[in-house]
Amino acid sequence: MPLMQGITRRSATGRPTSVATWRTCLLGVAACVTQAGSAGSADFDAELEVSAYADTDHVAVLTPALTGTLADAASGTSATGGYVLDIVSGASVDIVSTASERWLEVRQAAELSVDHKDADWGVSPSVSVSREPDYLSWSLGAAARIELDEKHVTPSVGYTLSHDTAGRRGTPYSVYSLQLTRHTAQAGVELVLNRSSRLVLLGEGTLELGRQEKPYRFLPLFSQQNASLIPAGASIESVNQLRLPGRTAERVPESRRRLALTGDWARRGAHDTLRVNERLYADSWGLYASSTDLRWLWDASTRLTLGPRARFHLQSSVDFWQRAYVAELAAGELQVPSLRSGDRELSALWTGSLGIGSEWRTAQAYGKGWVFGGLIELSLTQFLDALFIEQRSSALCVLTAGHVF
Amino acid sequence: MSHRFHPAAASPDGVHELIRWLARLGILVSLCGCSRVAVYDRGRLAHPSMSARQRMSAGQAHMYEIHEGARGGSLGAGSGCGCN
Repeated sequence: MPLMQGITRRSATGRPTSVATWRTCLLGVAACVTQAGSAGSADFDAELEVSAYADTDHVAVLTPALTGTLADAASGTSATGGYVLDIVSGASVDIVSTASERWLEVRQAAELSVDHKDADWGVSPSVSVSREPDYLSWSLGAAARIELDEKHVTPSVGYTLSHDTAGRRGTPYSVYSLQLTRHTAQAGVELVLNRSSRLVLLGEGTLELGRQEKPYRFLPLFSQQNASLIPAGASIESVNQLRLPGRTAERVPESRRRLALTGDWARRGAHDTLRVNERLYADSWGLYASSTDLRWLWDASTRLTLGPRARFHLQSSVDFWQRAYVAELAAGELQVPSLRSGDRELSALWTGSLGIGSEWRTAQAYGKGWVFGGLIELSLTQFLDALFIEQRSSALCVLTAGHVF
Repeated sequence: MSHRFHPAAASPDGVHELIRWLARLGILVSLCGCSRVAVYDRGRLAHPSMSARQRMSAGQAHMYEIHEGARGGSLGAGSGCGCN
């Protein structure tokens, strides 16, 4: 479960990180290093990344991540393992509006993928698991590709199965849990356009079956008369003044079909690389979106790379989105819309991001040695039809340190 | 507070139109034609910055996933660059 989606949770107390998991991870890295050294033909690289995120909605996230890759050029096989820790602290307007306290939560995620290439074809199986105190997710996937026309055309296909279990903190999954199964199929092709540019076209379809409500998210309800008086970004005080007594739980459709079409174009110049990525998205809930990502990487020297980046995301709301859901009293019972959500990431919004990154290597021309990187990215999100908040500004800072052995 | 971006621009019709326009642009770009590139002439294509695998940090990927209602379409491993 993406952690920051849980911003409507009432309260939670974080648990200490699993020392055993860290130990296992470090032992695995050490084993890989030893193996690489003895094998002779193998290359090994490891990277530690620390990301810090904060926004004006009082959400802060610290994300250390460790990644290691062992590659054996002789056999064409490589293995990549990763471990991510998310430490999230939230006191967003959704928390405050339900008179709940700031919460702190920890997520751990690990993934392992293997890539094997033989002659003109390659396969890449992968597995991942993610765990929070009230959420468990795992996935299994595989992809295959084949190089055609002297590597000018490389089609690929892939499939991933994942399963999520959401619960309530302190309640066993056997007592309360929501299950979600996700099937994802990918098909794409990579084209060499000329000696300095290439294009990747990719289609991805996802079928989600199960419950996607957030167990901690409750929505205010309004009378028909008062609903029209609620403007976008209405304050907590205004909402509390006009809403009906009580709140209702979120309810969304039990299936969702997503389709994403991506084009990724890259061009390498004498000393720079330009990348343009566009994703078009539509789903059966009626959400349509466009995400555009631009990156320019400039080799300031043989060891230093600098680059600005920009991203713009625009989306419509889902079909059943309402800023103020109306409840009516009929036959002595309160009637509420059958589908309802308070997740403002399902509403109409746009987000613009600007950032700059850098990478410094101790070795020339991407050779073996240390690699240090940094990234700062600032984002502004404009919510066009949501309660409590109209704008959110955020900052992300990423520092990386890696070594290629 | 006044919007700098009108809600109508993010309506389903508006986004439909935008998507149609971008799809046409994508087709146009892909029809620009591919030229033959000899294996010995693929040094630029083999540069690490050209890898189809997106070099996005874990924190960055997480942020986009949370900020955006859309999901999917990220690039996996690719190998059309001529590198071994």
